[in-house]
This record gives sequence, structure tokens and C-alpha cells, in this order.
Amino acid sequence: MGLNRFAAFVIGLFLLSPPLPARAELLSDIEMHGFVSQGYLKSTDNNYLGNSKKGSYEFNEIGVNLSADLTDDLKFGMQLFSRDMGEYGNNELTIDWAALDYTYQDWLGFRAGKIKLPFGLHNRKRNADMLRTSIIFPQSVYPEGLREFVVGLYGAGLHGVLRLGPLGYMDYELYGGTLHIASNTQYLSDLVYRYREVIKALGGNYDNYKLIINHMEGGMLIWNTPLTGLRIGGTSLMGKGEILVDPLRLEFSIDGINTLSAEYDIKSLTFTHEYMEMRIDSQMKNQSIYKAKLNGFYSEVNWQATDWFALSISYGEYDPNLKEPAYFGWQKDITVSTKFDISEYWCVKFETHFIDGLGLASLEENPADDVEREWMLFAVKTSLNF
Amino acid sequence: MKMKPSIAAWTAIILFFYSLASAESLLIVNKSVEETTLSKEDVNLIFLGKKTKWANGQKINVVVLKQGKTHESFLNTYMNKTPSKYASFWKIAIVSGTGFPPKFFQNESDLVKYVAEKQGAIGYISPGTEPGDTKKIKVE
Repeated sequence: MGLNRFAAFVIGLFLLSPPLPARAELLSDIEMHGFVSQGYLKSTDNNYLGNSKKGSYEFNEIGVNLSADLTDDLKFGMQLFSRDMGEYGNNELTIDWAALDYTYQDWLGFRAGKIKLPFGLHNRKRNADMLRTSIIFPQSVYPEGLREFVVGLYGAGLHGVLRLGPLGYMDYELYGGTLHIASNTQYLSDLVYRYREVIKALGGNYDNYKLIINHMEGGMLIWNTPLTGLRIGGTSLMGKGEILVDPLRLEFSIDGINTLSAEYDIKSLTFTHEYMEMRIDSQMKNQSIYKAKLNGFYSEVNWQATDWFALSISYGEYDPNLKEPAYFGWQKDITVSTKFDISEYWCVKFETHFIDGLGLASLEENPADDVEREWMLFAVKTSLNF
Repeated sequence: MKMKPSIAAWTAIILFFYSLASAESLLIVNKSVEETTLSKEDVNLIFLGKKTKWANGQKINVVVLKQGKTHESFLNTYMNKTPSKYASFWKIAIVSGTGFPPKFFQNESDLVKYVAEKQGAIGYISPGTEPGDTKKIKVE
């Protein structure tokens, strides 16, 4: 469903849902917020998340959201979003999420529309730069190339809080629906690029392709332990679809994109460890063409030293399940990030990455004969929010 | 002859400065709320937007201070969060559509007035602040 049709649908719901007498009160109680961020990327050798070797300003996000209590139990909210990151996004306006949320009891709520997916502990804040110390999200668990698989789903879900007495409580979510994946998403374009000779041999046109996800289901379970600040959890999603490479049709199966996470938040310090694995299978006429298991992890310490200064240091590893070309079989990344909050509404951040390997870099943007194994990436970004 | 402060005097001085530094907080609710006590976990869940209804089904309306010692003390005692982490929690809920933020107040007198008028409201004040037409609630 395109932006206009979906926008018309959610705005229609918004206008029709509350009873008329309630609407005047509602309009005075709408929450509206937004953010704008602009960054710059520069790498010493390889291209990463854009044309970083030359230096790239194609690195921004803009979002505006509004939310309102329609009744005591029913909420509505939506966020318009636009971003640019190298070849991806190109500041196309999208509906990031737009959902009605009904709470029956605290242990059972229902959400429908375009839902922001729970994935790992932090996926939901990946579009809002001012909410984290790091500039680039830990790529070993939240790779940009897979972003569209885990950002927003058109569908419905259940959510709630389960009290466990002396054992703390659980946050849970279950959902199902469909995804829209853009043809130029990095994972898909790299996959087609890598297998272009195979596609050509089978009679396919590798310049004309798209991925359709027919259905996707998943969930989240996070245990908030009795040790205040310690939470442990996991997320999982799976689905089926098809890759159309004119005139070929491949069955596409996401056998699992799973995460396991632990985070300990104690005063100004936060310790995080997360692991991700993704299992994918592409078949044509019941014969596997491409089967992969990708995985990665990172550990991070974040220190909110003062109201205006935060520092984070992280180490991550990513295994893309590739043997060739050289150096594309892994990526190890030590990242040092600093965040300066100039005011409540404005921050400036600086970040340095010490990287070994190109496991997360685009094959198309890095010809195998012109890459370096060890390289550095620098990022600067400023964000405003209201 | 030099006068030495007694142990009692030292204790009084230490307690005085401790009470200034800790600036405890007191929970208040609208008089429509039937509960008289809450657990610490209840308070935590209420101020994270995860407990949204009182036992009689009435909606919980959460109000918080924007800054200050009372705010810091409340977050330290019940939420294990610094003010910036608590603000970040709500910003994440806002940008992801997973929560509706509490009402933020610049000062305690405005907060007390709102809690007194709004059905199902809960907030906190310093022990020295006049609770007005609200009800104090115990935390066990």
C-alpha cells in the first residue's frame, strides 16, 4: 500500500474513531513531537553507508509524530519519516508507524496499523538519533542492510505486562502482518549482485527484481528481573515471500531473525550485550539457490557522565557467512562515541570506528580489488528535537 | 576552654545536611483513587506507563516534575534512573508509538493543583510542600 492510500486510511480512522463530544477535548490533548538530524561520514579506505571515502553528507533523518488518547483505553499515533543514507532512503517521505492501540488490561493490549517492530532491545529508537550516544547503531546486530526487514510491519499484534511476583515482570509482544521491502535495500541488491552470473545462466534479468514478503510473524519477551535495572530478553520473527527476478520466481523464506539481549542499567552506567542471527533460504522449484546463516554480537558500555556529556565504547563482530571476496567474510568494529547535549533540544556527537574486514560493507560500492582490510570511519552528527 | 561539639550535635548536623541532599519525595493521588498503599514495583510500572489502571478500572493519569531535587530523589528511589535516562525513556516511547508520556510540570504547586483536579491522577512532591486537596499514598 503506497503512502497516500495508507495515510488516507489512518487519517480516516483518526477522524472517525472518537465519538463527536470527545473530539474537542481530544484536539486539545494531542502530543506532537519531531526531530531533525544531519551527519557527515568519512572513512580512510572503504566505502561504508554511502560514499564515505570521499566524505558523505548523505546522512540525515527527519521525523514528525503525533499521538492522542481517543478514550481512556484507545490511543492513536503516527510518525512521518524521511531519511538519507548513501544510496538508501533518498529522503523519500514514509509513514514510519501509524497505529491504533487498545488496552484491555495492563496484561493485554491490541495494536493495529503500521507497527514499529520490536527487534533486539533498541530497534525502536534507531530512527531517532538524539536518543542514543552512538551515531551509527551497532551494525553487528542492527545492520543497515537488513533494516527494512525489522522496521515496520503492516498488521496487528498483542502486547502487555505480565507480573511475576518476586521474580519481577515480563514485557511481551506478538504480531503478524506483511512487510514492504524496497528494491534498493542493501541486502537485496547485494544478494542479486552476488548471484548475477547464476541469475543470468538461469535466464533472469538481474537489473529488474523485487522482493515481496507475503507474511511475517514474530514476538518479543523481555524479563525485567528483580535486580532493578537488569533486563534479559529475546525477539524472533519469521516469514515467507518471493523474489521476482524477471522472469524468474524464487521462493524466499526467513527461517528466523532472532536476538538475545541483556542490559544492566545502573545509575549513569549502562552495560549492554546483544546477539543476532538470521537464517534465510531461497529456493527455485524446491531446490535451494541461496541458504545463509548470518550472525553478530556487540558489547557496549555507556556512561552518562553529566547532564550534557555521555561516552560509549563498544566492540562488535559480524559474520555474513561469506568466504569470498577477501575481507568480506567478517567485520570487527571497536567504536568510541561521545555525545554533547547543548540543550534539552539540541545535541552534537562525534564517533570513531576502528574496523577490521568489510562484512557489512556493500559489495557494489567496494570493488574487491580496491579494498583495505583494516580501516577507520569517522562520523559527526547534530540533532534537534522538540 | 575550647568547646567541642558533642556526638549528638554532629549527628544533628549530618542529618540536617543529609535531609537537604536527599530531598525525599512523597506520593500524592487524586481523592477519587481508592488505593491507600502501593508496592514499589507498582510505582515503577505506573511511572513507566506500564500500569495504566487503578484496581477499580479508573485510568491512571501520571504527572511528573520536569527537574529539581524532588524529581531526582523520586527517580533515584523508585525508578533507578537519572533524569536524563527517564526523559530518554519517554522520548523513545514517543518516537516508536509505544507509550503516551506523562504530563510534565515546572513546579510542585501546579502539579498539586492538577492532581487535585484530575480524576485518577498520581504525582509526587517534597515532604515540605502543602499537598492541598490531594491524598497521600503509602509505598510498602
